[in-house]
Amino acid sequence: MCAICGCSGTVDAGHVSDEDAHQHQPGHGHEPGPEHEHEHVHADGSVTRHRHSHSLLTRRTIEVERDLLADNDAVATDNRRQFAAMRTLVLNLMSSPGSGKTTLLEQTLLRLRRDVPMPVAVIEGDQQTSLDAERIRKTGVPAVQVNTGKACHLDALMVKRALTELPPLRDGLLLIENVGNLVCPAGFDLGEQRRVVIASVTEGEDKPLKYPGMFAHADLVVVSKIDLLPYLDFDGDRFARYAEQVRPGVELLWLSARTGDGMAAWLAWLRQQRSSLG
Amino acid sequence: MHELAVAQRLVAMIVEEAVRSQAHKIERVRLRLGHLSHVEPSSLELSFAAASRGTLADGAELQIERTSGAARCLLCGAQTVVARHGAACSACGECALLVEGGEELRLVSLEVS
Ligand SMILES: Nc1nc2c(ncn2[C@@H]2O[C@H](COP(=O)(O)OP(=O)(O)OP(=O)(O)O)[C@@H](O)[C@H]2O)c(=O)[nH]1
Ligand SMILES: [Mg+2]
Ligand SMILES: [Zn+2]
Ligand SMILES: [Zn+2]
Ligand SMILES: [Zn+2]
Ligand SMILES: [Zn+2]
Ligand SMILES: [Zn+2]
Repeated sequence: MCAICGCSGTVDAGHVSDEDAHQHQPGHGHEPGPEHEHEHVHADGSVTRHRHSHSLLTRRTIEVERDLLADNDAVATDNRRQFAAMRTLVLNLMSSPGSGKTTLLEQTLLRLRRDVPMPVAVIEGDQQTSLDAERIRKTGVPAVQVNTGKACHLDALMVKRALTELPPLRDGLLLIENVGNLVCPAGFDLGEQRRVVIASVTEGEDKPLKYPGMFAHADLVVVSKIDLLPYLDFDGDRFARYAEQVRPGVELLWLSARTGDGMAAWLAWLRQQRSSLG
Repeated sequence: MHELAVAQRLVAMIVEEAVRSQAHKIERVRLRLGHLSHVEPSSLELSFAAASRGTLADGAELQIERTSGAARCLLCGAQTVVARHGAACSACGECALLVEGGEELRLVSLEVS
């Protein structure tokens, strides 16, 4: 439908008059009058007739009351229902770029295969490249890369589409690595059951306060790269206090995907979340 | 820049509403935006101007009503109004607030001619 006049033509057809698509004929004003027809001429030469009465041309209010993110939320709800039917735990992993999401996933997948075999798949979100999905596939786990282009976050529809490209999952685990960004992904529900926010020790302890929107909805905060602590003056207690401040009661896990330190507790958390799905 | 995505969604919504009621032009758009939502009003205004260009909403005025965040204290149970995530409870002073509202992003109404 034409977005300018609502005629059945396409927007691409363009309108002859950009100024005001509805000042069609000279002398056709907007004063009140009976219902009548008039024409729009589009740039491609097509002509469309449209009926209106000028009583409609007076200023009026249309009450709408619609949620702008309703579309995303509806798809997310749908995803969530599907995940429940698949009896699959779905995690949305979010962090700033380079906090170690993919490395954590690689190490997790290698350990899961050894210790707790189960169907696992990964959805990788990045603006460009399929580097992360390739890294995941090297562990033998199916992975789909979603390129968001200019978008700074994954949304529910991208996840829904990605799901169709993965082998069917049942009684398993689906790990979604969001676009590296501590702001925007927090605003878009994917239908996940748990939100995991990762912050590496090299980022400093103030991240929960600086990016509260992200931390305020976390179900788990993973502090990564703790093998680097000896080289930094990162204050872990302060980080924990700040996280508690924006997300009271949130669980924190400290780990290094490099040395494996803390990985056992993370895997235990995963198992526990999976069994709590019922 | 997810404000641009939000603005494009908004323009699609209001044009749909305006066309349905046979309007010729969208004059004003009213939004309700929670203080704790993930959208920055000034950035949304810029994006809206760009996204509405050449549509029925071209030149429309965007009116953004801010609503305050609502939270409940996990320690003392008080309900409080907050302007940001991570605020302290106004009753007991502890930072143990669970956000319960103020994240909305709603199209309220539009004025058309
Ligand atoms: N020292 C140390 N380095 C790590 C650790 N985990 C990841 N890294 C390094 O951090 C860098 C980024 O890791 P990635 O796993 O690619 O981070 P990411 O969060 O997936 O990055 P994006 O997808 O680009 O947002 C790489 O050079 C990793 O080797 C860790 O536990 N310790
Ligand atoms: Mg990555
Ligand atoms: Zn037209
Ligand atoms: Zn007309
Ligand atoms: Zn007329
Ligand atoms: Zn963004
Ligand atoms: Zn309190």
